[in-house]
Amino acid sequence: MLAELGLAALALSFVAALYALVMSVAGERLHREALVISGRNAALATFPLLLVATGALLVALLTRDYQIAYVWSVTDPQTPDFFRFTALWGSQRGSLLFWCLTMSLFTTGAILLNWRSDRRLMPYSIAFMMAALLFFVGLVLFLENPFTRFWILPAAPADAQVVETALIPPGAVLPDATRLADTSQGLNPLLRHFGMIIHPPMLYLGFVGFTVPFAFAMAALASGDLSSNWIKATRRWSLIAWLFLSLGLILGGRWAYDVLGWGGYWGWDPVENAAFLPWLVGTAFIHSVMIQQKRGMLKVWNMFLVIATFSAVMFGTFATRSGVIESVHSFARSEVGFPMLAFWGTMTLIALALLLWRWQRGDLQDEHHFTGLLSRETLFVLNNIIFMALTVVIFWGSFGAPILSELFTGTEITLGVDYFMQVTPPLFLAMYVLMGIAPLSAWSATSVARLGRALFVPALLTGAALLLIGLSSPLTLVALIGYGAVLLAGFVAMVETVRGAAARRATRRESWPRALAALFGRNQRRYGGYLVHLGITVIGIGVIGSTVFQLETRRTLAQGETTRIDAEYELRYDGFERGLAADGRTINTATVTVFRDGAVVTQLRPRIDDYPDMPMTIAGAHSTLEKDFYVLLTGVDTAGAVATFKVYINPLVNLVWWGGLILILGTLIATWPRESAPERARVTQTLRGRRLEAAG
Amino acid sequence: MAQLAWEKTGGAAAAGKRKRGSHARLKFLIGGGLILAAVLYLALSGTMTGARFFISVAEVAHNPALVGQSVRLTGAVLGESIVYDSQTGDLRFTVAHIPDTFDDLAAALHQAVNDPARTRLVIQMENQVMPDLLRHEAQAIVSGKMGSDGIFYATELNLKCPSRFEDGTPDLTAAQS
Repeated sequence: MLAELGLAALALSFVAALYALVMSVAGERLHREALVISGRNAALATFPLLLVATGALLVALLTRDYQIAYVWSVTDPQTPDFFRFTALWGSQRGSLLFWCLTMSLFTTGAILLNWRSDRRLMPYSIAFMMAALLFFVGLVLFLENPFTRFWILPAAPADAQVVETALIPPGAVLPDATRLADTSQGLNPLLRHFGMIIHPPMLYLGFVGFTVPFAFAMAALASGDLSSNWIKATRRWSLIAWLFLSLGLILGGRWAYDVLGWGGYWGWDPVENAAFLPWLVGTAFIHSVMIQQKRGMLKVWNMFLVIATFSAVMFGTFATRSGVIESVHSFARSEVGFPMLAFWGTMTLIALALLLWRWQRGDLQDEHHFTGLLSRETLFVLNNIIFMALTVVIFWGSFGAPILSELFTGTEITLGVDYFMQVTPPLFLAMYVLMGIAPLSAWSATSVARLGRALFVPALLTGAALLLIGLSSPLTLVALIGYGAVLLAGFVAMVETVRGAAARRATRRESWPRALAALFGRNQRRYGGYLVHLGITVIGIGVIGSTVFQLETRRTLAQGETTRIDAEYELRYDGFERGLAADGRTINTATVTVFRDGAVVTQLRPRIDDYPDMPMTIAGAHSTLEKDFYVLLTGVDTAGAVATFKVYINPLVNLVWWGGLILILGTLIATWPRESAPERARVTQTLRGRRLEAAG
Repeated sequence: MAQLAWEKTGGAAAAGKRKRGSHARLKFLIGGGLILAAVLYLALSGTMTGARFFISVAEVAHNPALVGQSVRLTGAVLGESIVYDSQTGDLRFTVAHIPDTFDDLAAALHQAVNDPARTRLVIQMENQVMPDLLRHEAQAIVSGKMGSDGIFYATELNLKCPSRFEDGTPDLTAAQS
């Protein structure tokens, strides 16, 4: 019953998306309002339908319906209810269905919130959003259906008696429920972690969220409304997508740090990089559209960036889900690879063709030109160039070099971590320097003297902070330069915020908290942006600290024995215990005591969980803002008398996660809805456009 | 006359503006060119340093020219060959050759470990935590250098276990209802 319900809802959502696509385009082309409204209603129907389909699969997971192949492959009778819920995105089929649900959620939100204010853009926006949804629902329906069930065909040869189909085959009988439960596969142990519970949904929301600005941009190109309406309409959607993508990347790093047991959080793995590329292009886009809104410049470039962001999202999806890329993060090799590649190529080509057409017609003329080398728009463009350079070199290292070498030489050349560690730091350094200087520059033109005056206080604070850091611990040249650039960006954000609040205090006699609150409330984008910059600064400090100053060592200890790890820390092996968990795994836990300067700091319990067919090494960590003391149990004798530990001391690593939280807060402030006037303005502008069109 | 004077002044101003505009454009072009050159230099030098051939076990084992070169290879892990010393972190295991292209990874790995005629290569690693996914018939992707002693000294190891990532079919033959 659940399978039938899910399948029917899925099929209906496919039909609804197709209908919405056709009606929206037809309505716009034929100037038939009724068709456009009919298309809109069909588009709105996709969300409840996909909610029913996803709900059916979720209920099947929770009620242990092992006849459904997906339930059988990702859960077993020992799986706790909590992980039954998260198993929804534990494998390709369920996660693709969940992906469709999130995409229809964004689509529904965009239609409901922008329908009145951006009426002229809506038909083609719906068409592009529905084209993307149609493709993914089609993948789920025809290639990766999560509602297929196991059947037994008694009349078939012995080796072909068990079949997996979505529809009931003739003469089929139900398999034995107990046997199905006994043979079920269970959730991949790597996915049983808090980070993995919310990391995939966040990443999906980030990925699919960029469909909305892309669709509105394409609607602008197709409809001819080439004002900044599409940017105003999608500013929040872009920020929301960017927020979720950032959150997904940070949580993915946290998962790797806790679960993969190598003491790090970013391995420059191709699939990690594939998720990072849309973030880089999306960040360039978010900055670049400000110039179009303020100065009417970079119209072609902004269109290119939104196309590139969507294209990077589609490529990232292909890289993760096709199984073509070898990675611990990728799904198994799947039939979705070629269709995804085809969809990615087709959508990118259509988008570029539309852009070229409008460009050649001269419809995307800039209203101003670049003047001063130090003007804010020039520095923003430089920042864009740095983001795109990072995108290109990371793409080249992850995919370009292997693919091209294979094509032209017949031998694949891969680029390892060395490549990324050599190529990306100078570009990240430039990014931080520009992040510090650009907000201080004025639109149109800025003199060196003016910029120097504005930089004086942040530079002074940066120098003082470097001196303090240098006095408290020895610094390498790389760390000194890195910290210098990162701190400058952070101090600029802080000083500018304090300056703004001080100005309010001086003119309105407000208290500091009130002045700061009013400042963030009055200019959300600017001061939310500064908070985001501060978050990126904190992340940067964490990355430099944990990369440059990481200590890694291995110790074998008898029970009761203590060993010195470095000048401050000692480690004592206290005991070992082995137990059986309710889900069938054997838990091997060591207890160790950590001392700092002779005093007990904490007791840690690193462990190895033996699942029936694979072990999982779970670190024990003592986390402070200053550093992580991270211990892995790597081996133990049968009696537990002697155990070997791998110890990492990761300075400042927690700043990476705390910086992420600041970034989220800043983005939420910048995104939070407040103003209503621009929407009315867009309605007026749209109506005026329609009248002119009708008259012309 | 006034009109003429105005035109002359306006023309000179426009010419000056055009000159300043082309001067600014030149500055932007030079700046852009320098940035492009720097990025290209970074990418090229990084490629020269970090490039590794991704080749098969058979190619590595049979080509003496590859001794001492940084390469990346993939093979099927033979479970009984895994030896791990937790005290030193030394890890040694053997991989069997798998073809460059295959339809079913699980089948390709199964065939590789069960075919005694397939080329096999011993992989040696130092200072490792025993990888969770290192087991019989796992796909190992290792980077490192081939030693003159016939052992591959790896510095990076990635593993993939098809049984953990791919959906299977239950054995229901004993329990038809």
